[in-house]
Amino acid sequence: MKAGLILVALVCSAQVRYEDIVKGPNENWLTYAGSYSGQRHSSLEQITTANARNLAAQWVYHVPDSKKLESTPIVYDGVMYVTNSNAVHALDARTGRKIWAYFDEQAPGARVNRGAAILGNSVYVVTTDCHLVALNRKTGAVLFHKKYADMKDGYFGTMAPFVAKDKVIVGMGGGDSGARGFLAALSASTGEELWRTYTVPQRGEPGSETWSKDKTLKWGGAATWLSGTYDPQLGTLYWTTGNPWPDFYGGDREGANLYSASVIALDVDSGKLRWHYQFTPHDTHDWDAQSWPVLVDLEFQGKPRKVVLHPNRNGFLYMLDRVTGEFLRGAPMVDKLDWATGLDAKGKPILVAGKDPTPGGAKACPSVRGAANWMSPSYSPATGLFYVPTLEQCDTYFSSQKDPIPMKGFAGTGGEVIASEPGQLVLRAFDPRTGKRVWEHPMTGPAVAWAGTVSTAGGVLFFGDDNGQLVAADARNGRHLWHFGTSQSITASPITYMVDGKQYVAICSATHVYSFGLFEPAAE
Amino acid sequence: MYLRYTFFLVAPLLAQIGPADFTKSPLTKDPAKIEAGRVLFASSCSGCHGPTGEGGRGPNLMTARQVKRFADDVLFAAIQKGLPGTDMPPTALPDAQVWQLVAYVRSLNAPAYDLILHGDEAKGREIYFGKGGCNQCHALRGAGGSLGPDLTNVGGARPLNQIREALLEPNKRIADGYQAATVHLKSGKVITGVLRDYTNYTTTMVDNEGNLYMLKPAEVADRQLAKASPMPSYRDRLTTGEQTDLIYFLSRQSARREEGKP
Repeated sequence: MKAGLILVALVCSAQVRYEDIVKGPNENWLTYAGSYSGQRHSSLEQITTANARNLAAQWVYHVPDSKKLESTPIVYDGVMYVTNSNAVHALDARTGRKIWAYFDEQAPGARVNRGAAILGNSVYVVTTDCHLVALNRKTGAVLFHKKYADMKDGYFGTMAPFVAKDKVIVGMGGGDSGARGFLAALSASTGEELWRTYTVPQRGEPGSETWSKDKTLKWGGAATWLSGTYDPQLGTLYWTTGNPWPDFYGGDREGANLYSASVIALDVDSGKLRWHYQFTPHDTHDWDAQSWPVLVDLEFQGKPRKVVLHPNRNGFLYMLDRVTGEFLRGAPMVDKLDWATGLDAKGKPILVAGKDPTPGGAKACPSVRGAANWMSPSYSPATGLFYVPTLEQCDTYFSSQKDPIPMKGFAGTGGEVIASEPGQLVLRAFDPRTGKRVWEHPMTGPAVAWAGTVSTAGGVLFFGDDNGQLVAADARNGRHLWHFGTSQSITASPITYMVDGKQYVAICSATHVYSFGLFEPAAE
Repeated sequence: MYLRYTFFLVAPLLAQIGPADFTKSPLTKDPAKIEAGRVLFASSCSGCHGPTGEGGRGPNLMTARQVKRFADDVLFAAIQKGLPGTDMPPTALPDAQVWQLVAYVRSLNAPAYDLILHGDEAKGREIYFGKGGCNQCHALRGAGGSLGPDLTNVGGARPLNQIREALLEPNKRIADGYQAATVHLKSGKVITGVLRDYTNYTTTMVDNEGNLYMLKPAEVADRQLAKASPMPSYRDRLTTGEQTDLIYFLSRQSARREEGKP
């Protein structure tokens, strides 16, 4: 009977349904953030705070031609899908052995790629030049290959596509060199475009009055290069947008520059904007809002609220009502924050003079990398804590009034690291009900990691640290339980999954995928 | 996005270097020049690189990555001046003929879709789905069998000579992951398909319906590997004209080709 059950489990015949993704992470990890809420909290509990010290590497897979993997794997039915530039590798998630690999030889150049999406029998990935490719999940055969944006307009693709209902949501990179941001929904079965919503309005449309000049409005940035989150009950997509262009010189774009550096809430069926909230009006520090809009239900001021938690690159941790977009609370999440003294009642930053970039350079904190970034935070309903990798760092910011010419690499100049003030990564656990820090884990290292977190029902929080190690800690208090050194910088986020009754934790290092599970002594 | 300052620091360096000095051969896609290059190659180069560039004393020109990465003008210089420190000698051939050789060498590893070829695509399609029965084992855009490699992008990814070889000499090399096998399970079930992964400890198979089997050693009673490719040779099954049309049809298969466009 047991053998029969195992065989059934190993013959991959089931299909991923939308309802399966809605359920959130269990044995499978079906979307970039594990769940639509972006909580990155798994129901798996085989690995606990009591046994995590017995974790051991189960397998390692080298991803050919990789240099700096940023991929979050997808796992379904015992198969792991991990991406590299224009490539997908399907692996036996128990052994790390390759089942198939797809490489788009016609795609130009190499860029990072942050992961795949899955629905039905298809695995989806975007190419560097903004094609959505659908592959047969069992064989790697190409099902369709659909161009959704043109590099001639300044676009490129790095994001993990996002499946919602019968749609694949895709966005773009390129906002730093001048490109008009958008989000598009494509049919999951054919790749046909169903809707497209631009994140920078055209002159005359609402929001265009927040741009003083057409030459920047037309190429305004507000890129959508990170995956988003989704509330199936509300039918609302939550997506963060990048900085306005040119990044560091605001003189040619006076105004708030909507909808840059914001979170936008869109109707999933029509793409219509339901509400927006701008974290950094008229940003001049390249503080994209690309960090999760994490969806949590909690009590606020004595009433249950559906909220969005958002750690922003500008240094503040925000809580918004996700039905209306109303600002509920915001507070500094790092110590090195000097561009604003705080947020007003509406959440608008109270600015400090002299923090804008200048031709000669002006120091401001956080740094251009931001106090948070795309590396994944997580939220545990069990502890009620929100885990955020933060960066304590300042930069010197420079600007140039040079006439902005799009798609020529012009960003209005940039930010430079202050050599005498090295940055430090600090993993912090916040109580979202109060906004206060509950515990923190300062990291040693060169402040170069872009590593995220995953929380589990076993009470273990996994995260990559700044020394290239995957670390397991007690989610309640940050107590160290276990670590494993990869000898490479980690620029990805861990996931957890289960096959044949065994829980695994996997993460990409710069060039490899590692998977860990509890050590099992050989039977006598 | 992020790391803007990296670009800020690097940009001046790029500006100093300027765009790469890259000369494209004007002949690369011209079938007449490729043919002229092939004739020259047979007399001047095949002694070391093999009759069809498959390698010998010199590298395999169909697969050598360093050759693929050469810009056309670098390849031109390597042929004309030779490669110091290697057995590759210079040649006294005039420039026009060296460019013909560049065109031929490029054609050895350029995707077939990028070449100017001749054939009847409609007839090739008819053979693919009819007399050839190719779709029984191969898929195009999701339709077809799974025992052979997906052909949706075969023209976009494979050189012409590889397509021709696969059609006429399928046993010369079997694509990774496509060795045919029959596996008997202890449960009594028999799986016939191709081995996607095969080690002492793993057996992963796909059958022609596209079902994926990830088997444990304890489940497997016996594994019988076929010595020959499940792909038959079409040398005698199709006329020369039919082969030409089928190869042409395959060469037009590019995942990036928009529907209805040549």
